[in-house]
Order: sequence, then C-alpha cells, then structure tokens
Amino acid sequence: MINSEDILSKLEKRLGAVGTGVKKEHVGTVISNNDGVITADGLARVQMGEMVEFTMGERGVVLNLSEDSVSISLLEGGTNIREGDKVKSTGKLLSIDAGEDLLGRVIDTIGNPLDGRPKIKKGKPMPLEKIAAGVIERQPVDTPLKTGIKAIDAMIPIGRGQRQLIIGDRGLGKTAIAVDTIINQKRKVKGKKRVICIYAAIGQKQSTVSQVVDKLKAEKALDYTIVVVAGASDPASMQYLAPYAAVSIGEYFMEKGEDVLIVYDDLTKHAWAYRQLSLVLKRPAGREAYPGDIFYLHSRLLERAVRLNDKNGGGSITALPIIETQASDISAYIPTNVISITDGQIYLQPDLFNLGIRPAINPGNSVSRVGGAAQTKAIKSVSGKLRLELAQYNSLAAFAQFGSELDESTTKQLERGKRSVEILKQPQYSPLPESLEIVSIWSVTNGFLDEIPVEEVGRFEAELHEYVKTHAGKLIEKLDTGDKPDEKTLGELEKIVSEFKKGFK
Amino acid sequence: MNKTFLKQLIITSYKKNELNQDRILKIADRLNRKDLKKYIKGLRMAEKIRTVIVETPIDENIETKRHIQKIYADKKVVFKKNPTLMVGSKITDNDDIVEMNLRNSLESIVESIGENYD
Repeated sequence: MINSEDILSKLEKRLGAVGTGVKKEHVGTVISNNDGVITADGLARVQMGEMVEFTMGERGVVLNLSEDSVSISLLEGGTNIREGDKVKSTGKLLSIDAGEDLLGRVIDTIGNPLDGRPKIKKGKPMPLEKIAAGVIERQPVDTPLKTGIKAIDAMIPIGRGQRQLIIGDRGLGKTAIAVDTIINQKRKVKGKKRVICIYAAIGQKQSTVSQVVDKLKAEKALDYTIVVVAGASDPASMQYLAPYAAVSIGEYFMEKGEDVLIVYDDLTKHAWAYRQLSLVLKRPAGREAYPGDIFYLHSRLLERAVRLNDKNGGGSITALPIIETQASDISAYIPTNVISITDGQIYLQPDLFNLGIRPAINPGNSVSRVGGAAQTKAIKSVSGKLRLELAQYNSLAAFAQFGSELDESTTKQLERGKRSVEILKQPQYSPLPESLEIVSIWSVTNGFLDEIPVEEVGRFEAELHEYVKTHAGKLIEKLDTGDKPDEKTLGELEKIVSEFKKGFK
Repeated sequence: MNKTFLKQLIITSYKKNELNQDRILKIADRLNRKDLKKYIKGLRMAEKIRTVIVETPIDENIETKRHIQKIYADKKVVFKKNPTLMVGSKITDNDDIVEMNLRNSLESIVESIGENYD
C-alpha cells in the first residue's frame, strides 16, 4: 500500500534541493555575426571551449579569447542573432551526454537524435576535450580486432587499442573496409569482450551516411553501433567537433571496461572544416592555409585511442581514421601528418582497384606497427609466408612483362602469386570468421590452388568454405579458438581440402 | 588611434569619478568619425564597468538604497523599476547579472521535474 505521507515528504525533500531562486549569469553583448562566428564583448571570465547560450536558445562554443572581445562559433542556427543580442556563459565546457541509450542511434555532434526515434535519456556528460591517458595507465596492444578481411587480418593485423589509418583516393573502398570491420564485430569471439562501434561521419553527404546506416541496420550491426553525423551541410564547428564527440562517447564505454572501435570518416574533411573555422577566426594561416596547430588537431584526437591496463578497467579504444588523398599523393601535408601519428596504415591503390583487386590494398605500402602481437597464433602460423610471397610475386611480375622465357621455379612462383592475389579478393559486406580465413590462406600457401585456373579461384574458395562448414564443423571450432594448429589439425585440414579439390569441377 | 591612446582619452574624460561634458566635447571635436565611434564605445564600456543597475518591481526605499550603496561603494548605483520581476530583484554589475525572483524558483522546479521524471 503506497503511503501518501511518504510520497509527500519525498517530494518536499526534492523541492528543498531544487534551488533557492537565485540565478547568476555572466553575460556579454553580440558585436558582429560573420560566417557562423559571433564576436561578443563582455564575458570577461569565460573559458576557452566553454559553451555559451544566446537569447533564443542557440548554443555556441568559445574559440577565441581576445583582450576586448570573445569569438564564439555557433553550433546550431544563428541566422536570427543580431548585434546587441545578449549571450550568456553556461559555466560548462563543451560536453556530450553518453550512455547505453546511444547504442543503435544516429546523433549529431551535440547529442541530438537524427534518426526520428524518441529522445535519448540524459547520460553522463563527457567532455569533448580531454587529455589522453598517460603512459602508466596503458598496456601494450595484444588482442586482435578482427576485420574479417583476409588481406588485413593476415598481413596488416589490427589490435584493440591501435590507431590504423586507411588511406587512398576517393572511391577505392576506404569506407567499405571500415563498414565491413563494424559488421564483423557482430561475430562473438570466445573469451573476448564485445566491441562497441562508433562511426563518425565528418563532412559526408547525407545520402552516403544514410546508405551506411541502412547497411548496418540490414546486417544487424546497428544494435552495437553509434553513428555521429556532422554532414557536409552542417556548420564547420560541428564538423570540427564531431570526432571529439565520438571519442568522448567511446571513453564512456572504455572507462566501464569495454572495447570500442571508432571510425573517423574522414579526417581530411575534418582538417578542411578546422581550416575554414580558423580562417574566419582570423588565426594566422600556415602551410596550405592550414592553421599552425593542424597537427595537434589530429594528434590529440588520436592519442585518445588507448588500451588501458587492468588496474584502469582494461578497456580500449581502437581508431580507424580515414584520409582521402588526391592523385595517390601520400606525401601531402595532412596525409603525412596523420601517417606519423598512427600505428600503421592500410594503403589503397587505384591501379589495383581498376584491375579488379578489391579490396585494393597495396601490401607493400601498408604496414601495421603492432604486427604479430595483434594476431592469434593460428593466423600468424599460416600467413607468415604470404606477405613475402606477394612481394616476390610483384617484383617477378614486373620482370615477366618483358616476355622472356622463364625457368620452372619462376613460373611456379608467378602462378602461386596470381592465386594468392586472387584469394585475397573479397566481396563487400562479406567479412569472414578467422577459421575460414585460415582455410583460404593455408590452402593457397600450401599449393592446393596451383592446379586451379586463376579465374576459378573465387568460386573454389566459396565452395570450399561451404564444404568445410558442412563437413568439418569441429575443425572450424578448433581453428576459431585462435590456438596454433597442431599437426593433427593441419592433417585434418589437408584431408578436407584434398577431398573437396577432388570433387571440384 | 591605438588602444593605449583610447584608454588615456577615456581616463581623461572623467573628473571626480563622473563624466565631464566639457572635456568630452573637446575630445570629440578633435576626432575623426572612425575614432569617434571607438571613443563612444569606450565610454559606454567604462560607464558599464562603473555602474551597477538594480531593478525591482516596486519603487526603491531609502534603507535598501543605502544598503546596496554600501555593498557597491566604489560604483554608481542606478535604480530602475521593472514590473516583470515577480517578487524579487535583479542586479547587473558589468557582465554579471544576479536575479532573485519567484519565476526562477518555478523554472528550477520545472527543470528538476524534467530531469528526474520521464
């Protein structure tokens, strides 16, 4: 029976804690409104990065503090703001509310839902700007983050807590790699924590973002993904802050001990937005008109990708920043900056894409500085030879173009290389479990595909996968454990592949 | 006209802590349009720093006036009547505004309910 006295006394207690009716405000007056940047006087005690509010409720963030005035970048609206309008400080640094309710949602930089679904419950405010975890709080990256893409998991492995750059020209499949990686996290790996994914769309077309969201929904990957959108039509300030909002949300989950994957798509547009903002704020322009702290813009963002030690919860943030190059120029300003910050890069090449090699990954120019530490023993044992064989094949293939007669071993190497290249091709939205990756790579490196015509390799692989799943379920389970396959397992694998090959037409 | 010179002009415009009309007119006659605009803006800012505006819904009484003048001893206190304030007052000191009224209490209650209940 509900006691009305209890309810009333609780309500009275709450009212007592509500407030005394004294409101203190720190205000300024708008002097000018140019290109989304408001100059205001007053606000003498406002902090850098503090949120301010205008008369009609529009919000902005303080980005410049001068002797007599303050420059505020608008986060929303702003066409009604006129000279003489009042602006008040909120006393809070820019932050975003993070919580479990964000999973499966599409939001903007300041946390407003964009997917037409109900309002998001208020969560823990996470500051957008934060100093990254120190050296003592970290531990080395030693847990794989499986992308499900053979070329990456075998030769350029990514670990949880790593920053791996995806770089290439437009239209080569950079976003496709990121989306496939997110979809692959649907697969539960025994003994490993789930991976929460955050896709930060910066300066992208709304149609592109919509396609990505639809695909994630169709693959049931949206349930563990948060999409933060600052599209091409959003103010430069929103585009500038979007990646920081994404990493702040990631830090909320990381602090609870979870593993998080954040895709920044893409940081080139992020740099453009920051350049635009800095020029409007009249900050001195440097090389290519970028402001002097353009490196710091990305370094402080990417440093927040971290693997925490067990004392600090053991969580991690893995970052997949994307950079779009122009005419494959990886020696340009922004690409070189980000390459020097990240722990490796996946380089996509237009020649390979045009030849039908998709994903168009150039294994020669791609590297993972974490390397084998981010691989299970299983895949490490089969893929060790692959990178070297491909490098040898590429140099031989150039030589063979001259049409001279080749000896038997060279011809064999060339044929093996062609089949290795073919086996590494993979359709979009089809990430593979580790067991099937091992089956494919082991088959090609041990010569089981040497008699198969190159154009039939794709079909061979697809049918082999089906055959192994149907006839060797226990073998699949053994391979999925990640342990180095023993002689017995390798024997079983050899048997099953040989059986299939006999019946392959 | 640089900022230092403008500051000097503004200090000179005051006599015994009050704006002196003669001095202001003399200075204004010697300035071009652009500098005059800066000068006027500077004077407004200076006056804003030196003035405290107290708004109440009713006419002020002498006791209250004396009390507030004691708190802001180094500033000029101006009293204004503002009937929109519900049972309270509003004090504007340069960039800081302190508002005490019933409306704030009601708004706080509404905000608290909104935060704590779905």
